[in-house]
Amino acid sequence: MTEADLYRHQVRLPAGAEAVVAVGDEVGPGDLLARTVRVAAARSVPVARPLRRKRGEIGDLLLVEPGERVRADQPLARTPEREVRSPAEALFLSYQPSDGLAHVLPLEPAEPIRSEVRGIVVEVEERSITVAVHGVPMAGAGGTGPAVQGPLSVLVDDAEAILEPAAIDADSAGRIVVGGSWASAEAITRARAVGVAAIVVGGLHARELADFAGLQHRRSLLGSAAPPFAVLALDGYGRAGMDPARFGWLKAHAGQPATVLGDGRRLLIYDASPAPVRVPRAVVGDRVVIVSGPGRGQAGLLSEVPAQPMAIGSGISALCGMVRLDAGRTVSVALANLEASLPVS
Amino acid sequence: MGSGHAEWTTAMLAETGDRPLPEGSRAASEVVPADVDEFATTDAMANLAARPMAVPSSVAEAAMVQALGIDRLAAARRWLGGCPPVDLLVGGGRLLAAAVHPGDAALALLDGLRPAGVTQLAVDPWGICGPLGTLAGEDVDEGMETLRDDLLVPLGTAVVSRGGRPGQVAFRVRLHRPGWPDSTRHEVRVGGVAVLPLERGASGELEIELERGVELGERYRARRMRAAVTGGAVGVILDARDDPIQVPTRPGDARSMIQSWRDTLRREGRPAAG
Repeated sequence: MTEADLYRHQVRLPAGAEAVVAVGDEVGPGDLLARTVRVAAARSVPVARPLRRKRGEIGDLLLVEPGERVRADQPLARTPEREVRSPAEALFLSYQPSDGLAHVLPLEPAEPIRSEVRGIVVEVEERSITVAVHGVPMAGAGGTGPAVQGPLSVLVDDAEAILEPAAIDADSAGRIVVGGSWASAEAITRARAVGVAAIVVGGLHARELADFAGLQHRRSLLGSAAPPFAVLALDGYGRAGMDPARFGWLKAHAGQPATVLGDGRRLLIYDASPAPVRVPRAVVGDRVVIVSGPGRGQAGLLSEVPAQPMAIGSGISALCGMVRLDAGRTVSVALANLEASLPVS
Repeated sequence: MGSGHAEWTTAMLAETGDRPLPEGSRAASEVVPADVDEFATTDAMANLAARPMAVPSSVAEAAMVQALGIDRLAAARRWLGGCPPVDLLVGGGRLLAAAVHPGDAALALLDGLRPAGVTQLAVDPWGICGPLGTLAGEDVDEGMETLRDDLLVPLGTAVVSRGGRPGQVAFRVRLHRPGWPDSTRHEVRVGGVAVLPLERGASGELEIELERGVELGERYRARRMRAAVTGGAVGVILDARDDPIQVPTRPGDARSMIQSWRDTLRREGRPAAG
């Protein structure tokens, strides 16, 4: 894998965040990348009275400029005998001769921003930090949960198989469990209970995913100490087979360390071989995957593209392709609902 | 966020105010004219949201897309503070241009926008109107001249009324066409929809007689009036479903009623070209 092939993982920073890493730093999951600050209500700091000077005689005694960031206890103004210090880390706003007060905006620490992946910092911008990763990403259609790490563990034999709750046991704790076509709410609940890091499957019910995301959110508000857990649906929502090429790639990397970004709908396998690529606009002779509608997730060969549009199941007229499925049948599928599965180079 | 698609689509349906849908994805499964459960509805909506270029592959998916389109049009209408009175309503985008049947496109426009009065309906199948609007004045004329008959596909003319009591007659119409014997008088009851055949390129005059408590909007104050109508892929649509449209509270009844409206508009209309 060359430098150009490295996956660049970008972390967005909120306004005012302060990076604590520099280009070239090595980071791992959970390492601090940046700190954010929250602006509290402005505070007034008496200056003229503590310095025992007239209000209009302070100008030359100020040590900071308006807009300057000051540390807690940093002197703001000084005479040979006395000084006034900042009550907190703050933004110095101004000194008002009319009342002899200085005004500061205290800056309170907020949530730390931590790395989700293992890699090297290659870019630090005002609003983002980019980490180059020796890994290969695979985008999913849906997911939920934070970034979690663990070795890949494939618990089914083929892409069509359902991830049964009984297949998930204590040995799966801390692992990223790969199922086949689908996982039920029961399987997800069990995985979370035994300490699985993440579940990766072809499809999930959107409703169950939304319910689970809501449950996770409520638990986080209550300060749950449960380990982080993520869910990723690679091919879509509902019961559908996982793209066999993707399943094969995942199976080939069983045991490999990986990261699942549930909310980011992405899987990242470290030090992996190139992942199968899917592109729209398949042509005759391509190996294709049905990505929408009945048969979603099934793969086959695009054998013919009739020149005239054909009516599909919905009654809509669309340009279609004849797909000879791996299962043996030939079906007509709207070209818009097919993606070519390109061979790994 | 992770479940954004699902949340977005369910929230989208839940926020429908003009068409009183129950909250959440259950709403869609209750009003789409197909026998699908809540899970299937949410999955289909989430899949279509995740892959917006996909073509609905089943009757249920097509119906859900239609329901979402209507919901978005209704939201646009609310944002505008109501559908302004217009002579011609042009629908664009894949939902309308690639509808299974022109009647579906007409129904989406009528359900979503409720244009009171007498309005010509058309679709812009090639998405030409937008780019044409960016041309300089003389270029627009040249573009119109070049495209002329290919620019828009007329669906026909809609008469949309408000008010009246359910089940009572909303208005009566008689269609006059030059060179044709006058048609019989048609009655449309409040809550109902009907279609008079009038093919593309044909025109006529519609004699309208409103019942007490029924109105056609600001531009049509008289109880009896005559309005010019043009034909199209659907015909002359007589829509007395009030505003907002009321659907029965029982899911099965709502589904049957919506299906009956769709059947009515499809019965007279010409199927979409293959």
